[in-house]
Amino acid sequence: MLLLSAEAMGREMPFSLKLRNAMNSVWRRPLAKALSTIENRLPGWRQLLSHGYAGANDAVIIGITGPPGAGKSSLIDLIASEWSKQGHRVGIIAIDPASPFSGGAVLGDRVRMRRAEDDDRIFIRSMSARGHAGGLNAAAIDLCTILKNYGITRILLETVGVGQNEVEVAFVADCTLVVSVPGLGDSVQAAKAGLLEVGDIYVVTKSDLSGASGVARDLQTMLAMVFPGSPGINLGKVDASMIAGVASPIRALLARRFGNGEAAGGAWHPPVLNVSASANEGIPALCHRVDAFKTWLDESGIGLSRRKVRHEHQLRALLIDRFMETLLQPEGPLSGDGMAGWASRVAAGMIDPHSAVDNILGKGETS
Amino acid sequence: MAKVGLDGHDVGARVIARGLLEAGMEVIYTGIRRTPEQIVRVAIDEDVDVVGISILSGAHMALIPRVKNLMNEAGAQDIILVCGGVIPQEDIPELQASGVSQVFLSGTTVADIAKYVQFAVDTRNQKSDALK
Repeated sequence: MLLLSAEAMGREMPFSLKLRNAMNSVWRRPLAKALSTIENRLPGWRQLLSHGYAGANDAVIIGITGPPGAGKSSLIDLIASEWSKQGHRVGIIAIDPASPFSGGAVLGDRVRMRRAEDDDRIFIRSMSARGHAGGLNAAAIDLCTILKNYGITRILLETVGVGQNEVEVAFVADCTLVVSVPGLGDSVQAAKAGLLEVGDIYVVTKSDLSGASGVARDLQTMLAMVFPGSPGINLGKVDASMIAGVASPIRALLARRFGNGEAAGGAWHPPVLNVSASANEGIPALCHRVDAFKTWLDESGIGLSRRKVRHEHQLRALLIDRFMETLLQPEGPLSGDGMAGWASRVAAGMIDPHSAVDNILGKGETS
Repeated sequence: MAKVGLDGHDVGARVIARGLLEAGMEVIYTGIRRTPEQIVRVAIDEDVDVVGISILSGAHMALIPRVKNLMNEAGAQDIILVCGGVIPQEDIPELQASGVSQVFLSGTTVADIAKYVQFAVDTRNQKSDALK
């Protein structure tokens, strides 16, 4: 506020601040421009990315997901400030929904990131989901790669406020934080599938409110029925008596993501942590858990196998996009308003949608 | 869309942000009581085309030229600056001389603002393409 009053009286900016601005613009503006180039597919974006993937450091990407109003942005503000204090350069990508009709968006996550906004080691970028389902922006992985090129060692990726099934972030981030909040329904919500299988660490925010410890307890109980052992790293013979109900194929799938007690590195049982942004409580402990998880990922080899899964997802998405582009190109079967034509025939009951797809793909009508 | 200085009246800013959304734009809202330094930093990090300042406090002559100067210092001369709010007509020429491209007074429709923003960005992009 001292600064503001100096401004209001029209005084010159202190020299130190000028210097700070100059030093900041050395990396902030080029990084901001590079991100726009990727997001908007401006000329040169492919070249930028191929350099980017080659030169990327092993920064940790932390995905933060949870319902709207759970306190994701406030939590990110505190985590970013904590890491900045430890000497990390931190990047934040905050994604908000776009209008399905106009394509426009109002991006307001950074309003809750006041600490991070004034920190020279932290870079915040707001993004619109641009019609991409799953809580992320289609270019999210590419954007994280660019951040890594600019010396950023910790990346926080905030999804749009999710419902119960927007879990894509778990395939982009190294470590996924699922944020819960007291007051959003009873313990049955915690029993539902989806978000309960993707979190590496569960965070219950607003721990100063009543009900927060109950939410944490419900989550812990449910997690104990899915993951063997106790919260954190479990080595050796892990107690699996609580997860007797989980079928062995599912256990194998979970083990691929969360490790195995008898293999190197052990198994990870997602812990539940209570934090309060307003009282600034629990943040160093949370950051410590994320670091411990990252170490576990590296030592157990799960990090590498997760990265493979991530890029498989990415390749699949890119192939779908390219394939649609081929169908839509001028000489393709859906050129012009081809899609609208098929849609109106389906709507009029002239053809069923599956046969329409066969026709589009040139396979004729099959039963 | 930014609010600068000690000014907590942000209904107008939020309505205009929403209106620009309907016009298909991506709008970053800064929240209230930001310093010129903070606004310029947001503008640069987010790589925006236009900064719109809503100001009803009467401090526009001190704060708005400051935002423009800081943007120039940061090498972001290309970012278009517009403002609106309670601004006396006699202040408009001086604001424009300081680099503000348009001042919107009360009574302006959101559609007019959207149209101007689109026009200003298109004109700027055509100019920079012509230079290439």
